[in-house]
Amino acid sequence: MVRTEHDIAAQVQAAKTDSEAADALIRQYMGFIRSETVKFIHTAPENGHEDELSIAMLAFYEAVLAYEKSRGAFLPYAARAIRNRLIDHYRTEKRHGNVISLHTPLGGEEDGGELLDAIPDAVDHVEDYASRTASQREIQEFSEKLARFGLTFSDVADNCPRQERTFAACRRVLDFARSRPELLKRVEDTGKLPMNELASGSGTDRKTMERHRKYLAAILLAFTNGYEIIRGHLCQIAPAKGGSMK
Amino acid sequence: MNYLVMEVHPAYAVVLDEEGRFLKVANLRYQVGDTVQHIVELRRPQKKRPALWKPLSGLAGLAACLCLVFFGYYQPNFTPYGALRIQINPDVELTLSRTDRVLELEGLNEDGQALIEGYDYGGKDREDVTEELVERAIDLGYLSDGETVSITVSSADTDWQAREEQEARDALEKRYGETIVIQIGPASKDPPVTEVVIPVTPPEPTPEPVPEPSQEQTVPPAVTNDTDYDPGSDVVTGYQDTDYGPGADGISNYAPFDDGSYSDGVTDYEDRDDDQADDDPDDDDDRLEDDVDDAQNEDD
Repeated sequence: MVRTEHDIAAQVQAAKTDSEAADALIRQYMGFIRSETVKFIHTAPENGHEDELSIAMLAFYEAVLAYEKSRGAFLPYAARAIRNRLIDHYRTEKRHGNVISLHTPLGGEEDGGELLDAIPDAVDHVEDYASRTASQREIQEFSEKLARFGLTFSDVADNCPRQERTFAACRRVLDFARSRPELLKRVEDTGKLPMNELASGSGTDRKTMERHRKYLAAILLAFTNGYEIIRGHLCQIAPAKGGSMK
Repeated sequence: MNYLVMEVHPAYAVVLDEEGRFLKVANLRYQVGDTVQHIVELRRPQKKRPALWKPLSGLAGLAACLCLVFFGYYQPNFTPYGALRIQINPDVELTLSRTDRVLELEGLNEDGQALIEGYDYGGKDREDVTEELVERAIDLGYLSDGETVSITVSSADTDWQAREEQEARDALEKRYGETIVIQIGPASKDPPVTEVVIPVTPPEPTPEPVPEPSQEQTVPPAVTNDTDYDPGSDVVTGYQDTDYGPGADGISNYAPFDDGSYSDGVTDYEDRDDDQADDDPDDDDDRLEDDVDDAQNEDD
């Protein structure tokens, strides 16, 4: 089927807000992304350039988000975005340039193993696997709970405050809520943020809270019962170290 | 900083950092539950830029429009560019814009002020106003036949000035050229620069009475067939008289000429005269007798 530029533009427009549509679009244009990457690295991504392919995919997604009709046809625009992103990536990688690959052959012999083989494997794979499955399970649980509120992690990430001051304000709300376990309980039960209490208690502007309510809901839910691993991960959220909640 | 991978998508992963931020990063073959150190964060499109210049561009557009209106419409139409002075006896000055629009009307003497009093020049151009003013001047009795209207245009732009003068004169001449004199330049005593005099034929000449003093001043001519200059002659002189037209007095002056050599006293003309002037039948006869007497006296 012949796809016109018009179809692509409509798809891109849909993918801007809908993360599932974005995923579908990226799957559909995987060949395009791959070809653009190959044009840049001049080899198959499988030969140790998987990261570049990932960066190219991210660049494609960024292009989807940033695309406007006034910027011309989408595919040339995306190709340019991918190229620029890969160039940027190489420049940042150059900063730690004196790093040798784990795949560097040892001692120059043909049949000798690689550097990777010579490094002692300090990681306990079994424990690692266990902890990962545990956290996977917890994240899955958390995700389901968010889904009950009609949220996905993508939504939350889009809604996350990016400015430092706003982030600090959200942190104040969180700190206040953690000192009041009954508020957290109410959030969990009703699925609504008690805006008035939170605003008056934390001294945060109501409007700021409104703007970031998805993020606030997610982070408050993370501090309700369960989610030990997630809470453990958020170790830098220092005050009232979780204990009061149990 | 460690990041906990929360969700993976083909193009990106959602990770949670240790401070509680949820971030979208490049999915470098992550799996949910991984903890990673180095991430490549998603760059979000900066939406602030258009918001910054958009209202400004509107403002700039508005300013450009205003400039266009000002320089294209307002300035040629509403900025004084020159002045046109009309002098009849009333002295009136029009302030004109470049596009001939009358911006101001000023009476420079009392008659001028009287002329323009109550006259609305708003929105009219030079041609209309000059014509209407001349019309008004005629109505108010300032301007009558054969009198002179002088037009003076002054402006910094000499081309425009010359053109205006020409146009104003042509327009007036076309309408009033038959009856009045249009002159360019100030109405001074000096000879005018250009003067167009159209011979005036008065449509209703008033019959002038016989000038009495001329009778004393004039001496009787040597050869007197005509007795008009005679002290005894009581009737018209015949020079200022016309026999034609509505003002004719019915007295033809041919009769005295006729009787030059043969004064038989009977002419064809006199018959007609007698018919017409029944009330005064003796008039001509008397004259004829006088004529004869005069001739006899001179012969003596």
